[in-house]
Amino acid sequence: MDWKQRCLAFLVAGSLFAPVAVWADTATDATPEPTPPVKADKHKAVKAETKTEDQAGDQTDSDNSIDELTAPATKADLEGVHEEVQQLRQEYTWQLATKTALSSRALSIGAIIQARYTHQEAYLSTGQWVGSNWGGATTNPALGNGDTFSVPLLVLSLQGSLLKDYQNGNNVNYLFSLQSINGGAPTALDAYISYNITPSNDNTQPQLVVSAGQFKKPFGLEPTTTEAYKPTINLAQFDQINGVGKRDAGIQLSGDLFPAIDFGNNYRVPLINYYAALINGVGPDALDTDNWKDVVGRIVINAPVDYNNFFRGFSVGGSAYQGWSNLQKAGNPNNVVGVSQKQWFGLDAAYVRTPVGFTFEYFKGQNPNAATDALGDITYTNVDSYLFDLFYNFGDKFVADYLNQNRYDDWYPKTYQPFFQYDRYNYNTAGTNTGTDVYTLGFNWFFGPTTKLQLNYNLVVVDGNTLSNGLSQEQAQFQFGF
Amino acid sequence: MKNIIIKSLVLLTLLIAPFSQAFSQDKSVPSKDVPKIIRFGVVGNAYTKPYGSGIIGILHQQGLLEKEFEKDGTQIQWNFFVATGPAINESIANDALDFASYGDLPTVIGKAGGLKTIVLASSGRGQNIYIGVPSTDTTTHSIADLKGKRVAFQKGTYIHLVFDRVLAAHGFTESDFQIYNLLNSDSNAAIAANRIDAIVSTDLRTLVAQGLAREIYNSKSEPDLFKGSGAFVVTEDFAKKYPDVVQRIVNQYVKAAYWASEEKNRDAYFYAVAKTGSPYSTTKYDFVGDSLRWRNNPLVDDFWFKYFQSTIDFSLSQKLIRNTFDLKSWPDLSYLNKALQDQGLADYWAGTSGPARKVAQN
Repeated sequence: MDWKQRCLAFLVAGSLFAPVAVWADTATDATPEPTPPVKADKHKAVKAETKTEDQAGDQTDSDNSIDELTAPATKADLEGVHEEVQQLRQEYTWQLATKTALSSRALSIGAIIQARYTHQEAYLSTGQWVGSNWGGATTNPALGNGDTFSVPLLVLSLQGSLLKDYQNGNNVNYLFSLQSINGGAPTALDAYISYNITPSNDNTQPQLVVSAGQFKKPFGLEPTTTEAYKPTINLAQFDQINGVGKRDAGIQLSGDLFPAIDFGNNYRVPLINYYAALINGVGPDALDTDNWKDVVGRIVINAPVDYNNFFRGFSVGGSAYQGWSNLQKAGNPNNVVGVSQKQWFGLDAAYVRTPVGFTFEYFKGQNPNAATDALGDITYTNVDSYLFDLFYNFGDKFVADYLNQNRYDDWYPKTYQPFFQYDRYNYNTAGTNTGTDVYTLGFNWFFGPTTKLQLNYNLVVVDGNTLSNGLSQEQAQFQFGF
Repeated sequence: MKNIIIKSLVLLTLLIAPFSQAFSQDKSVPSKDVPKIIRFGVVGNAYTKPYGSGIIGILHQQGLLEKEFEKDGTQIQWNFFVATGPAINESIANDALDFASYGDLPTVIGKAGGLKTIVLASSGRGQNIYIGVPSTDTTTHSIADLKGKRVAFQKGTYIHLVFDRVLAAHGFTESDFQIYNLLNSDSNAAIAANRIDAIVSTDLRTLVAQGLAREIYNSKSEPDLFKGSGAFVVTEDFAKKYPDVVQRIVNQYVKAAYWASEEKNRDAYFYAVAKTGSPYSTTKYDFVGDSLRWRNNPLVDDFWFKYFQSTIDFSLSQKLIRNTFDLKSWPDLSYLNKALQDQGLADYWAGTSGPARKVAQN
């Protein structure tokens, strides 16, 4: 390498390392503190007064440091930089080859873990409490587990982009996640590929995405909320009992229309969100058991307002599910004698913003009963449910862009969310005393971007019983992830 | 059932009460107290470095506020927002900030949208924009050559405002181009991948040095109204509650502005800006011909009012805001004027739109 080439290499290396060299200084006192004069009216007086001996000395030091930074490089300097670049290159190559996880495409790893403590004094049998497995953990004092620690949920997710389209954002993305419930064998949770049909780079335009694989059914408000954002520890009764929030395999179209943009707050809200899916209807990790595909859809109308508008966060939604399944002759599953239908309808309204918000959800369902005779007469059970949440949240967690900062230190944006939830579920609207009310008083403490402590007090009152006969349940849960 | 609901709501109220008390204090009563924490919002950068540029960058790097409030035990919290001005507006709306320094367009949109802020000083002026094309593009040499092509920048920022002004001066509008709303980091990646035809940026030199882009336009020779400015603001609640603290902060802000305006500190200032990750050479190139006093002028003067009125008018015409507001009543200059008088700087920045606008060096 001749002298000219070395000079060129030095200039390139210098431009790369200059900010790093300055960055290595401390955050404060890196530049001389300004010492403007006091009580002088004219700039000339300012200049005169600034030339005190001490201040002049300070400035001399500063000038010296600047001289050092801008002094011409020597040949030894160039060789030193060249040597250092070589060492860094070797170090980088070695680290990449030996200590870095690699994948063939962009990969982001995430996880959600729940560590829970539950205490309850009494046990409700299935007849009293339809959701005997309510909350994901059957706790029965008679069995000695009415007071228990548990790790009810582990979710490990991998996601990324299979094709990144910088021009239009017509990206192909993937999400794959595994879950383990109460220490059970891991099963697939989400497993789908998605494609942005419309340009996702331009958020002033409507968006449309198609997904194929196993995903959450687009039905309802609470069931479509991800685990990280559910206010309560237990699932809502209608969600848990009917499996509304469970994943299913199929294909889905989701998108929005008429977006309103508040550029000054980086806020985008479409007037309409819509979802439509064609699924097996048999739940996750299973082949279809009939020749029919179930159809599920959801539409949400949002208030298309600016960020500072009072109605920001207000939305109303509606969901519908139409499913079909074979009805087999009793004792002979190969003899299909009819087709049963499963129908769900849901309405919801939400006002989600800081500091006060609420959600309301109504669910009505018609579920087929198992065949009771050889001819396969079809009977149905009608169910309905009301769910109401009132919450008061304050802190940084719910300010989207506040969490996205340039920082060297880790930090804990604290957020507090006390809430009240009323959850009523009637497992047979044709019967009497067939409903269950669950009152939950809770407190969520978000003490990190992805960590929260949840405290729930649940009071379960079955129809026909008085408040004093209600079952009380206390729960504490850390939900954390990365 | 009604009893249960009522009891539950009472319990919820009791649960909330201790926390809500702190937020429900009457903020309109001036206090001689000093808050335990003062929260600042600053525009972040594409390099993920927690440093800012301009006057606020110097105020931060020199630790002037930390020293000023050390005896009070007050924590100075610095927040550098990756999503820049719009993220600052969002945080102010959610009571997550007390002070902020950011660009003209988001400050105007925030104020027009109902944010209760008071302008204390200017955050500087004269910020240029640059338009670059992929280095492999040898046929594009002007804005006119870009007509119909794909141009990327972050909407809602002062880059957006200045770009639109430049387009208007050249007889174009946004509709003459395919506009992509991308963050700086995404724009850089996109132009490196040749997936867009041009980017509008404040820092093109890095891409040019890497051989990824070629500059076809900069706003250096455009009228001053075509260059970015900004404001240093405080929330109305904080100013009402802690007027003495606001004065102490403005005092330090003026000290930082003075240091950042002295030509003897020119190189040191460029190195301070380099801490954001934007190379020294970029800032040096951007400041060629401009005096530091012009660029780091904290005054809310006739130029500032003219500039911001034009920003409001432009934002209305582009439908970026729906409502206007009284610009004259937005600033409270009592703090700035007192700081200038006390520090003997009343005339220091006056007239920098004239001869002091330029410097011969560089």
